[in-house]
Amino acid sequence: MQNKKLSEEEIQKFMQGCEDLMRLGNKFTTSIRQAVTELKSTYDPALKSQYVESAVVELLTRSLQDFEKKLEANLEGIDTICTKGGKWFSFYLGRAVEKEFSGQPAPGGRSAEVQMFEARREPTQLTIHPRPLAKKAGV
Amino acid sequence: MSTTQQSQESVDRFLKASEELMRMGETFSGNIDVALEGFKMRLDAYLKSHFLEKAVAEMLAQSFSEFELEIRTNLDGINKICTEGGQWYAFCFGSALGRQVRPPASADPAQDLKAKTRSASSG
Repeated sequence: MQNKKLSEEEIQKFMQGCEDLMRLGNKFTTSIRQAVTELKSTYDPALKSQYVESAVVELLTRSLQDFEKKLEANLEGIDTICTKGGKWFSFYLGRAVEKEFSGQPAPGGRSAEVQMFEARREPTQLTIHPRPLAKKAGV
Repeated sequence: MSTTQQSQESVDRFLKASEELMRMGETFSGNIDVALEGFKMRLDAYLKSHFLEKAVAEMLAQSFSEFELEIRTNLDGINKICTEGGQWYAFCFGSALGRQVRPPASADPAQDLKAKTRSASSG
């Protein structure tokens, strides 16, 4: 169990860590999109060749499109979490820290760290549309 | 209602919301996993049929197998962000407020993930 409050330096490190983590999340989704593009670059010529029956081409193309649609819908959700969600975390942490420090103001104003946190603007409304995402992929 | 109680409630609400957000991330990646599994099942059936040349079927199967590995590696990374990353948020946020919070098991939240990204993007 941890009982001590975080120091300003630890908070700075954490904020940086948060940002890195969210960037990693975006990187993972980008890698997935790239993988799909690569897969399609192999499948497209093969399906256009004469070595595959047209019925199979049609079925496979439809399956791939269906899969791609589900993938993209869910990746968008993950992207939203990693971008907007990350900003919300920073915003709330910044506010919590600000409150903490405002109880004991430094002699010529607040510390640089607190000012930095204050500068963080409230992110715009986070809306992840739960619409057909779960349903789509659950089929 | 006192101000302390109000702020206590807003902290709890935030922690709950962050937990839900992370769960949502896991759901999204789970959905991708299910969709991948579904596509794989259909693809297997097509590739086993006699309606395409054996060499083409082999090539498509090989491509898909590489694709699947890439997707699963990246999904693992996303899951880790949503599970361990989420725990780190709660830990740091709670600690900043002087609350008793159990730290996540891993010492460095970004370490494993960084290693994973490298392998995922090089693959």
